[in-house]
Amino acid sequence: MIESLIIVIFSTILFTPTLFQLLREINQLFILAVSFLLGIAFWTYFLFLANLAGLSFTLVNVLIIYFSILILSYLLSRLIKVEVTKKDKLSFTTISKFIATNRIALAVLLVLIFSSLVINFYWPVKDWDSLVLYDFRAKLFATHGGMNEAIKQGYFISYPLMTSLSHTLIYLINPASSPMLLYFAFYLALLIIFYSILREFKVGEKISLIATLALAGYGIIFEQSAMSYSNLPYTAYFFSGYIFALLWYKNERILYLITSALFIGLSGWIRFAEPFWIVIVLVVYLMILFKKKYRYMPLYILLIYAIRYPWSAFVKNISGITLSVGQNLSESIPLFSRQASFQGMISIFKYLYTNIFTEYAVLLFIFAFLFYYTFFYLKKRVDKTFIFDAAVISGIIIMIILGTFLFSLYQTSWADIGDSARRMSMVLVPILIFSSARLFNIINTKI
Amino acid sequence: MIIRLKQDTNMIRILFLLTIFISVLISLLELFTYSGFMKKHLFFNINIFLFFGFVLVILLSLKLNEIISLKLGKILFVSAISALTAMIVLTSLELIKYPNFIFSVTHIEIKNFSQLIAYLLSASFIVVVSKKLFKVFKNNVFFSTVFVFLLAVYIFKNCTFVSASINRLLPPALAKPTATYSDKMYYLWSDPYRYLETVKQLTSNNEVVFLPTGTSAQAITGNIGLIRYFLYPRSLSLYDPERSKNGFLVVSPGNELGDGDYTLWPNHWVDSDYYYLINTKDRKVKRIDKDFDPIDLSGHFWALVKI
Repeated sequence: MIESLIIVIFSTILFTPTLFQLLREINQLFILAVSFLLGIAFWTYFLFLANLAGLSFTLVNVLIIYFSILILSYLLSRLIKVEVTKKDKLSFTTISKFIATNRIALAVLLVLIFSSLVINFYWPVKDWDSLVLYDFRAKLFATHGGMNEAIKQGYFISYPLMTSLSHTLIYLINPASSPMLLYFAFYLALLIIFYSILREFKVGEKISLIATLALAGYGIIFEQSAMSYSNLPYTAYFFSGYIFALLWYKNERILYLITSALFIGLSGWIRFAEPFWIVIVLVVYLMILFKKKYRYMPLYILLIYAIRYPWSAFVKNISGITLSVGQNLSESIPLFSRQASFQGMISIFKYLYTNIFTEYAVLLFIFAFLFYYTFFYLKKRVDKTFIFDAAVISGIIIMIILGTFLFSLYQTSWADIGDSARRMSMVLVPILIFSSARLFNIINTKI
Repeated sequence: MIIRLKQDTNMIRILFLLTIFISVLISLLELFTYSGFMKKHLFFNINIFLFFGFVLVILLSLKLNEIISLKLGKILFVSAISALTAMIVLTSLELIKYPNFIFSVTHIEIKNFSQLIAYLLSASFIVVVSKKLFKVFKNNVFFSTVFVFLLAVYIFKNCTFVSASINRLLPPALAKPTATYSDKMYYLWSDPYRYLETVKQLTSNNEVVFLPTGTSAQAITGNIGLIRYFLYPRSLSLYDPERSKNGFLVVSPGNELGDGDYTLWPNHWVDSDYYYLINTKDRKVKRIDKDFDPIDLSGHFWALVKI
């Protein structure tokens, strides 16, 4: 377990000095959480690229790559000059304040976090998909120093390598170690980012804390914090990508937009098949249109594409399969028009109702209720960021419905993997709670 | 007849406590009997009752004064934490004792604690916040009731899920903190894990292992993707009576498709050099030097046949 801790600390160190320099207006815990997410993703990403270039997975090579990124990160922080304004602060005040005022909520939150820590500390990799794919690949990478053996074993290209390579980093130090602490770190990072960003959006301390508790205690989020699947990391990166885009809309610092693109691109380094990133790109384009900063449009998509491209090119190279969303869609539409039937539609709606609607309905109702109450009943002035929230939520739901329709055409066993669909849709959770907390904050404000 | 309830009378307090009491009692009923007891004997699901209970509790809590609400909220919260602790302690005790899989040592349906904990927490939340939220929603009974109800359902649903998750994975850490990797995997994957661990010891790295096919056993012991995690670098292949030679054949619980009863796979004679009988409980292995015939395996479900 100590090996996992070393990797978490090393990953966090990678970008901490740079981000302290660049994002100094947000609290330190937020910076540490963002540093961890960026650190572990880029470390594994460059490890993958280096392997394609012929460098094997060994401890020495892992360290060479690590220090190369560290130096680059340091140089980057020296190159970019950030103006220090009055608002800029480096403090833990936001965390220390609530200890006295919201003890019960904090206590329950800590019970959840501590339970997740103990569970991850105790259990090894144990869950089906991880044994079949993520952790199995990691063990083969560490044993053979390359990807060939894992490719030969089959079922390799379904998911990118971020979680597997992060396990490999641990196995290279000690093959008998457990990488589960990484998933606790993803959980904690998501919670810290979530709380900090609510405070950044001027949501009251109490509401922010209770909303963070609602996220930490959301069934599927808590469950995934103790499983070595890719859904929780994906959710953390996707949510971070979205909130950095919102921060850009609020403050117009290009750095936020770049960070957003990095996170959205890196979410494709965890799970490639989900097309949710398109929703974020469209919403960010909407933000750019409102701000009339048209030159940022190509920058945003190019950054995402640059991160996503190597994996899709690699998959195409080893299997001949194209992972392009556009191409898949153009092939699916004629197929859909040929095979679609009323009976089929009914069974798909039943599937969506059972696996997705029943899971997320309460949260969706809470969001819809607060949205209606704030903007239609109280007729409060509509803040555009809520339109973006609603657009992202609606976009994801539309993608899930369309995706299920198309998936049902290709996969005969589509109806048997309802649990996967349920997990895939968990990206909705932090966005829905984030937006609901902000809406409630407006209602609660006595103006 | 419409009864208009005044602000915080004894009647309100009694009605409130009665609603909570009956809900807790119903949750306790399934704790001391079994899941679905209510549906079987009283013809309605426990959740339907709790649904109406929540609505009533919300409406009544609007009439309670704040000091009483806070006190009741604290009592309910402490009860929820106590129930959670009781659940974890009882499950840990269960793990220390030998599990008999029929009833718990205390004869309590421990998994049903989740529902009780969720109910107590939701009710605690309702009683503490409903009046405050009533003010937030500008004294609009409809909006505040709907919102508190949605939040109560949110807490109930997620609390049931999370407490069940914690109860599955936390007690083993408390009951057996020094358990080995093998013990932990056996706890989660049961006999198939112990069996595969033994297969690994009995076969060398370059052997071929043939797995069940077309049977109910295929879900685990016939799933190449899963089994390779435990048996790598051995070659794995689905068993074909015509072609499968020079390797080891997995014998596991299961049945040929269409056979009905849950018995043994394969359920027919196999020409073999020898086979191992594997006891997954005490890890004992016995070598039998003859052809494999399922009739000889009375009581045993796990074997490894050399073909």
